[in-house]
Amino acid sequence: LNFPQVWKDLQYGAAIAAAPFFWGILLLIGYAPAGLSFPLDEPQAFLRFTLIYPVLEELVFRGLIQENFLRASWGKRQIAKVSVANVATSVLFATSHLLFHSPLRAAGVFFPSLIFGYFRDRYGRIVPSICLHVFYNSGYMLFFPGQ
Amino acid sequence: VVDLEAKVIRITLTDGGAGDSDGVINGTIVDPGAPGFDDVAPPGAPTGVAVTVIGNEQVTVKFTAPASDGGSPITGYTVTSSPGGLTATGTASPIVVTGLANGTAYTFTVTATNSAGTSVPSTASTSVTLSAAGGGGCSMGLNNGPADPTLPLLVVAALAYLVRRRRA
Repeated sequence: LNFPQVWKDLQYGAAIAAAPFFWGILLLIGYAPAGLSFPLDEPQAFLRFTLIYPVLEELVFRGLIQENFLRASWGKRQIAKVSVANVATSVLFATSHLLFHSPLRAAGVFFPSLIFGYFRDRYGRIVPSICLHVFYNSGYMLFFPGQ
Repeated sequence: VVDLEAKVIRITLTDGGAGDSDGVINGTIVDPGAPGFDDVAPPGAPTGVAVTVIGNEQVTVKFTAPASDGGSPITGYTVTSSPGGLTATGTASPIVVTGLANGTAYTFTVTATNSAGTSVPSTASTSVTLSAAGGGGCSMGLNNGPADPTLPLLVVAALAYLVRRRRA
């Protein structure tokens, strides 16, 4: 990860800042803050969702799948600076979440998936996406575990 | 024998034995002194009840032990949900409550119990609503839910990607 490049990237900074904004919206619509004790109460579950899943999902979706799609000519095309490979990968990413989540919630992960995929394309590597995914999930699991 | 916890006084009186034919059982009852039964009371109510949703249909309830144990050690705590009246017991904080209904807003109270009885309920926790879709942010799987059958597949695919990157 080229950290200086990433941290000077306003778009990446905006993606990081979007997370607290989203958590604030969840509070406004009635999600109950959980007292910040989930990492201590359930350390295994916390690590599973803040580290293991984000790393594995980025390796598979932004790494294996999105890179394969980018090899195809259609995957390289862009819609509003977002690659079709990214959109297709995000559709798969959201669909995979139907195994566990409601359709609304599964559809909801389409947008963060687009962000992860965007930075995968922007940097040509998946580490920035992994960092974002870890950050997004960590905040969610800290403030709203199980909700 | 005085058993304060069971609130029982067992008294054995002995007659005078052979040759004592007065028909009267002789003995002395002695007040055991403090602590008497009146010195033991139910404990105070637990305080600081906080709830964390830890997954599908279950929460963790944390609380602070009462300042007063009523003169007898606290033997247990009971968490009660509202609505539903589901209870879970334990000897210390935190206590996990299972079997709750997703989509329902719950509050929880805690009582403490000692040999003299049960405390009044604590102040209710803030309301929490459980979700069947409780999970890990942008990731698959559920908190404490059933084992994720996709996890081995994810691991294999991730390893395949890493191997391919190394060979490239």
